[in-house]
Amino acid sequence: MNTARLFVLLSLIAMIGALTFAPAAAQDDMSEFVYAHSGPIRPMDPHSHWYGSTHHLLNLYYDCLIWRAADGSGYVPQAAHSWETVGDTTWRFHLREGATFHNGEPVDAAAVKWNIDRVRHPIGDIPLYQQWAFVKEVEVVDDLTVDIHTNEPHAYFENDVSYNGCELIPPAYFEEVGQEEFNRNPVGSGPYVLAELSENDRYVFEAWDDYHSGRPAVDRVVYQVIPEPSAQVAALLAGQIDLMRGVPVPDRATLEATDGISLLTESGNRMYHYYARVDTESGAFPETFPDYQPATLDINVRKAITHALDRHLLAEVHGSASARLARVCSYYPEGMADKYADPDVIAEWYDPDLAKEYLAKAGYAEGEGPTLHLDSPVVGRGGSAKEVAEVAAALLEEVGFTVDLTVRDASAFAVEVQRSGNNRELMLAALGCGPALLPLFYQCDWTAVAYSVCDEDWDAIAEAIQVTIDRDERLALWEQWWEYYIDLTQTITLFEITDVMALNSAEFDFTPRKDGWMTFRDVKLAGM
Amino acid sequence: MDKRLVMRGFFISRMLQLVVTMFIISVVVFFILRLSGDPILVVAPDFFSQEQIDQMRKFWGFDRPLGEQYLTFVRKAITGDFGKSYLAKRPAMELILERLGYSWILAAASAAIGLTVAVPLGILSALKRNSLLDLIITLMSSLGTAMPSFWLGLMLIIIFSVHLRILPAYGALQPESIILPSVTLGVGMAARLSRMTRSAMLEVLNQDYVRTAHSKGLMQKTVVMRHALRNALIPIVTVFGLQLGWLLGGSVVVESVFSWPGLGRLMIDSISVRDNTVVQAGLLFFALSFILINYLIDVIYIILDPRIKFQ
Amino acid sequence: MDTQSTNQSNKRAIADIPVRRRLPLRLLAILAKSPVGIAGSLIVTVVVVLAFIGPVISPQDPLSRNIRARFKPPGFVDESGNSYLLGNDQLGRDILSRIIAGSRVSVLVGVVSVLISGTLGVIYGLISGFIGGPVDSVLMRIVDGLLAIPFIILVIAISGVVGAGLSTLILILGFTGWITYARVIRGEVLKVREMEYVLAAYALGQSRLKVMFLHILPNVVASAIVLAAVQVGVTILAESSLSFLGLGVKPPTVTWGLMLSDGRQYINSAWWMTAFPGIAITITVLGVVFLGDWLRDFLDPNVRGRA
Repeated sequence: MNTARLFVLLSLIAMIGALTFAPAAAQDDMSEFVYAHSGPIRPMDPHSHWYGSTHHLLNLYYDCLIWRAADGSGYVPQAAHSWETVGDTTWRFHLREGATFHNGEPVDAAAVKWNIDRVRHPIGDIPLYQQWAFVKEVEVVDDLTVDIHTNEPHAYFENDVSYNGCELIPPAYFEEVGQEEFNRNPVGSGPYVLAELSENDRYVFEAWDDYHSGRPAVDRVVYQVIPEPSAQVAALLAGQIDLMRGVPVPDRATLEATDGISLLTESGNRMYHYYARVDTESGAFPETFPDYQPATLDINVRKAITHALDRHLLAEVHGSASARLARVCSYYPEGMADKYADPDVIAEWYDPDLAKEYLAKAGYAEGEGPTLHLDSPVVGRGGSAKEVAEVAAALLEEVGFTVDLTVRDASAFAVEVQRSGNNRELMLAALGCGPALLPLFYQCDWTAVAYSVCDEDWDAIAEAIQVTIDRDERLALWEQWWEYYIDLTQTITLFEITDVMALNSAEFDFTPRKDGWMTFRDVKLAGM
Repeated sequence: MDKRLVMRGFFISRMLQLVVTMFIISVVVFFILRLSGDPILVVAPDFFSQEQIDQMRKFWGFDRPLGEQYLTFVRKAITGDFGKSYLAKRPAMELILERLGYSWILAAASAAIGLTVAVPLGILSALKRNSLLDLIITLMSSLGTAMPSFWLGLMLIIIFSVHLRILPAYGALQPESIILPSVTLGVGMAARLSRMTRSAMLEVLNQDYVRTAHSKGLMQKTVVMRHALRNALIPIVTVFGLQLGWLLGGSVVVESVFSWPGLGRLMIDSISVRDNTVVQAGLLFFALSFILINYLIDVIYIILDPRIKFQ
Repeated sequence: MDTQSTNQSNKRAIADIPVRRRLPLRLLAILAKSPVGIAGSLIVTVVVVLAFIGPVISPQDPLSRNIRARFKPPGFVDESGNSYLLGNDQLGRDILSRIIAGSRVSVLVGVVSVLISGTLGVIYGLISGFIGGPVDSVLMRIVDGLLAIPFIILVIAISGVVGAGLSTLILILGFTGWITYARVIRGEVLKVREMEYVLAAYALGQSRLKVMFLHILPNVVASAIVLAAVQVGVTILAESSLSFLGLGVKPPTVTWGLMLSDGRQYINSAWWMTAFPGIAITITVLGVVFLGDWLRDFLDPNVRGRA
């Protein structure tokens, strides 16, 4: 008897356990928009880190002073209802009367000053202060007016002031609870409040009735972490989610043919490049490879590489990308997109014979090009990098290079190659297209470990771009800047990633933002 | 022997063992995770300078000697502080407890499926030894053992989610979400358990007293229920305990296949971004629960049969 | 109760010693009687042969791409007449050829890491059981501790930290797998070392080292072999799990686990990318399991592996 009883008991315990923890589904009349986020999602303290895809979600419940318009046309008010320049180096912001944080604290000039001063100083382990170094001082003019003084005229002030770290948090609440508790129970002043947080899994936001610009149209927005794109597709087909980005190529036809699902295409605002090594000093390179002379030190070799790559083919292999010659996305930075994104120009650029000529000029006999060590992660931002690397390797071998391809998983790639500067001839870099940061990356005083470049003349142009407020003048400078970029052939641009998104269009109406940010203040119910 | 006395002795000796074992695990886990250096390079943004990276090292205490770091870790761990996640900036144990419910429900459902399928099949197989039925059951259980559980999961997704579209394949958003992952794990568990049940039953059936019972003319069913199964249960329960190790391990991969927000996925996610505090706390937690479950099974043993001896 | 049964097995094993003269012949004769043994050794032989002569019989180059014809279902024939019996993948590579190429890694990982772990485990168990006393207690506590972390989780954590690649993976699997052997071998040693003939060897003045390797080791080898057979299966499964999670072997090396990891990306449209590599793994491991079952019945019916 004992035995049967024990067996039943064990099964019973197991089943009761199963039932008590059965996940509860939300069953109410509220409209709920679920976005499949690939993760990971970082802490809720917006000033403590630089992770873009987390800031996408932070934007739902924090207001900034101003914000980038969804269609890329300029900037829109958030906590500030208007703003203007006062002289070359001062920007004045007018705050909204009676606006508060979710907990009732006022969004006033003192709060704004507290926030910007906070982000300008090192916080935690990944501070953003370098990106806010353009700010000289924040001055409280009166309760609802605040001035930001910059060190010098700043061409990209509005962009920078609406970027990571711009999110306003309530000073009194934060000082009371501290960072750890704030990460658990964050408070902002945006149109949504955080209703439920399961770290790196599920973030549920509910509309805030008292938002200064009116309650948002959708009652509840959920960021559901689902790492695998294929899983996201299945979840969309099953009606578990309403929007995903990065739809895998073979699934597009299926989704397109499904009633109530539409595909949307927009720039992902990220690009793939191969970085060529042009020095032997930066990073850990001299210790790891003492006396090693990368072939790419020779500019002819680099030119051979850039002409050996069929960018249209690489973009096609990637599945959702459009070929580019320079680091110009369709949206960012300013200008030159026509010149470096023109399909004919790019097609002409692919010229294996020219590549062979350059190799000959570099002193290599036909078919006996140097060895290129190509490092790539398996998956880069925005999709597979492995297949792109495999095809690139084949193209390079066609003109006579020998390619030694090493593919690592993303974190190993970051540690062993990218961050330590152990890159040899070529390394994949997947980067965003921010106009404000772009010239900085190539400047002599840039401090990052890997891939530094220094050219005094180029440097001077970059400096000038950043302080030239007049747009036409600035674009003229950009033109010169890009010439250096192409000439140096250190960053060999491959393509811009296009985001293919799939939307539950039967229920929701969503227009992708030009800047590639997946944030959902503007989602509407379909047919409204 | 007095059961209460046995229990007390059991607890004291087991508690001592637990402390020693956890100490050993903590050493192994700590030093393995420090093997490749610190995770700062993964966490730091692209454009950080060496100076900023050094600051981060200092912030997390990676600039201290390894031995000192270990002692700090142990000192804090004893008070229940397993350090903060590098990424979430929240206590690692808090993140683990957040996911625990999901892992528990998945393990329980899989164990329930495993037990209810395996034990009757194993018994049947042993009773009808060398019959066609036995052959089929044995073959199926070998197949279940040989199959990678995550692949079975993928196949179930293809059939039930992609083609038939009757079951959700991902996450824990609806109550039905548990079906596919628990069946995936349950099948592997059942395959392993039924093999063990069969051989345990066979061993018992061959023993003298069972044969005696038979010869005394007791009916087959009575013999099985009263004599054989009771004695076979002890090895089955032991194996069940050991299989929980397999279940915990299998759940790591299967949770990742189904995006099930349990401990396993937390581990995989943390490993992929080298959030070592969470990985470390997770490994210790897995080990502790595995040991405790097996202690619990030993207690069941004692309840079942007080004559059991311990070392 | 375990002690009792293994004791019997040892008596049996020892009783067997004089009979084992014509082992290969006997082996074949017994194999012929066991359908499971036949099936197991057949499967294992085929896989090993494929691993060796794969490139010769492979219908296509497993790495050659056909970018213009990707995601083609089983039976597809391209314009130049190449046929893809099991379909092709996201780069237009032939799945069948890749499965054949993948057998190489499975065999390599299975055999080499089990050799490493078996050797380490046997030595560890031998030392622990033979020396006994406090050394034994300490060594066994370590094993207990390591056993409490599920094997696959331990391996995942280590390869996540150390980084991977084929040779690293083999080493990781080899240096973690020994734990399985240590306890069983030590138990065997404990029994064997009290046997009359071992005591007799001492009496004849043989050194401890000699006794350990000449008299005790041969008597625990049977158990080690049975365990090793089980471990080959476990290791192949572990490799595929790790590669599937992106923590194992890296492309362009072809492995079944990596194929599954690719297949998972396209699971909604290209089922063949997932189905076939998994079948290959299942059949291979099934073969190993069968062979292991048969070996156990043949060599040592009482050892239970922790699969």
